[in-house]
Amino acid sequence: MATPSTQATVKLQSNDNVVIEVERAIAERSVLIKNMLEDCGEVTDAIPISNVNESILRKVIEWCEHHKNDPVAAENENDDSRKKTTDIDEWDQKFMNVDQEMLFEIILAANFLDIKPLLDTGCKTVANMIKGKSPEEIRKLFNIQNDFTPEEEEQIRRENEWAEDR
Amino acid sequence: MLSLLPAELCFAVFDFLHDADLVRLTRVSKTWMAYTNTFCTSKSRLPFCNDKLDRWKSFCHEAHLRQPLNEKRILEKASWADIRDPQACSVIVRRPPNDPATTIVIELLADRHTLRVRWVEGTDPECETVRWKNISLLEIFAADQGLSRPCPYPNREGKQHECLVFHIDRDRTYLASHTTVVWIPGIYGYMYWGEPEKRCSCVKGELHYSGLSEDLIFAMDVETLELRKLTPYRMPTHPYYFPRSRERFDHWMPLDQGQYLMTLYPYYGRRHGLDEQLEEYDCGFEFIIFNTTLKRDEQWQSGGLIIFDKKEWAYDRKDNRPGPRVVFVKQDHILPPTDATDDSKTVECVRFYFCLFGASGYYRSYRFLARQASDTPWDFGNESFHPPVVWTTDILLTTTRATGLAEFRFLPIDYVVYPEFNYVPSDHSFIYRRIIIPSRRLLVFFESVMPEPRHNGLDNASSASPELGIEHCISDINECTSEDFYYSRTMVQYEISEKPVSRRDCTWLTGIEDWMPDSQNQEIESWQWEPRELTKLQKVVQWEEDRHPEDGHSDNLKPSYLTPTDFGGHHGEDWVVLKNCIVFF
Repeated sequence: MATPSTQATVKLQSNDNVVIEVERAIAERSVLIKNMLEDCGEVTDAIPISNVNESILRKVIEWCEHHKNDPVAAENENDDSRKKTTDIDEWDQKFMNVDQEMLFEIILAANFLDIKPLLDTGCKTVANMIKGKSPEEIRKLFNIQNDFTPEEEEQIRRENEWAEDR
Repeated sequence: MLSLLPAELCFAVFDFLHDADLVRLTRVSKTWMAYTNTFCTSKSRLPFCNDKLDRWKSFCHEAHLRQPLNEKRILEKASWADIRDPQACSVIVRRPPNDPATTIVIELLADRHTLRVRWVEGTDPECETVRWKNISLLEIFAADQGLSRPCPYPNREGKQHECLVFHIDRDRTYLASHTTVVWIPGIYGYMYWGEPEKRCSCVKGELHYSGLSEDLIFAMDVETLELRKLTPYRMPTHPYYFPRSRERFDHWMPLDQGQYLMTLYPYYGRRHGLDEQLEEYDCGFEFIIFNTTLKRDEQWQSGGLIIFDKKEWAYDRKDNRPGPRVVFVKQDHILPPTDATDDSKTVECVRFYFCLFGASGYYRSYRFLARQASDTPWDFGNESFHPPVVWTTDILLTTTRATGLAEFRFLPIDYVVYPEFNYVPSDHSFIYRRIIIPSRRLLVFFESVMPEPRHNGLDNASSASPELGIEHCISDINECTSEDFYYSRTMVQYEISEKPVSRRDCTWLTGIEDWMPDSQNQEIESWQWEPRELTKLQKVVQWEEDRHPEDGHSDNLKPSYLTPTDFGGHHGEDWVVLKNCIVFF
């Protein structure tokens, strides 16, 4: 097992070969990187983050920097309270105010890097975009083709009546 | 989104969506429908649903039940609402679904025995009355109870009240598409003429004092505007019929959009023939279904029996105890009316969830001891909470279109067992209990009202109730007493987790051995249950609030973590209405 490292910074390499140096504490917001550093000890080479490009990586690092002092959630925390609310704090709301493609990239990166709070924030953002919207509005929002026939649509509407007000 | 995110991340997004949003997502596209369907109908999201039934419909119905019913929504949707009319004791607003321009206002006038039904134009109950109808509950009650005239009765202090007073039970008054059912609970302390066993048929004889009357149930056809009094009865010709105790309240649930009412009773019958020496009993549930759309002389009922071994009920009956009481929790319309294989029939299926109060509760050991020592008083008001077992049964309704005849089939009963929780009752004389399952969350809520001696008369007790915000509670009891009350509210909320419960946790099941006579332990072994589909509830929060009218508010006693949002309401609300239940904060 590797000895604990006192290394102050680590280098992260995006999939477009850009190396970004960040504080170790910030990088360790990612459980993936944290585990890697714990396993490998001192790492002088850049850690390849193969699924994330430079712009997304910088965005993720920006989030980690802002949240570096947040308490780390318990490992087994999976309570429903985490999912009950879709409230997002103001800074995060601004942070997530990006185009859809980048938003999904951030979610994918948070998932890959195992940054649960960022993943939750991303998912809440998408959920808030969907909330209260009609199917047609959702189609427009995500540019989705309606592939139902009118008959199918009518049948689904009938089935869904059970959830509507009666 | 779906092309960019893998399924597990889409599900992570879905986790933050309300059910109504999820239902809407199915209409976006076929891919979205597949994703949403898979997510919503997963076992973890529908723990009560078995595989025989359409899980998606179950989800949709659960979603409907989970919708928060705050006051604004009630008014908008015209389910029911309270109007602060000083002239009326109790007011209910209904709007016929087939006539959204009209509102039906059902109110009990200040004399407390005249029921007025008004039809007003528009949604505002204060709008001009189109037509109205007054119904004298007193006359109906007198005729039903064998009274030739309104009869004064003595209250607990020996004073004479001028007249009997009634109130509407809003919890059990409901609107279905066919019918509005108005429930007038039984009243205490009236006098009647005749024989105790035949009180409804005699107008002569001795004067008797009665503790509690039967409930009055009225069904009003929202289309023809006919009002009918329902007279449910049991099967008197049944060879092993045990008369129903008058101390037990009926609990009815609407079926088939209100055309039928259903109730069920614990059933007790001897197992073999008429041998009086035989101590064996069959136990189960007896279902009674009542058609609300027929006139009194045409009324009929249908019924069914589900037998299973649950013998301690029989011991209650043998000793002439009322036994447990069935309380409906909710119903799911799990199979909508659909055409059967031929065009002649309509088939639908309703699932009922119900609980039992009484003999099988916390006090069963106490009651067992009480039976052993005959001088120990038995008091059903002191029964503790029921064991956390929720029963379910599915009822298949087949209607022949040509004749309109309905046929009911009762599918096997099932149940879910939750871990026992300990609630130690104090000396509450009245306990109002509600159990609801608004979603996968089981919420247990009960209020108790403990009388305390006072001498200020009835009026003060009435005026104190709005301050406490529990009018429905005080209105139930203060009509015929002149006591002050001490209120206690307790709420217990359980959250369902995925982990199964071991039998050891089910103290209701294993605890039976503790109170049965030793000589019968052998027999018990042969009918111990093997619980299926056990689901564990994790206790989330339990709080208790005691307040006295003279103590003022004690809001600081409320834990901050219990808010209306926990029950689907909004911040700042004082109360949230859930299915058949009001939760106060």
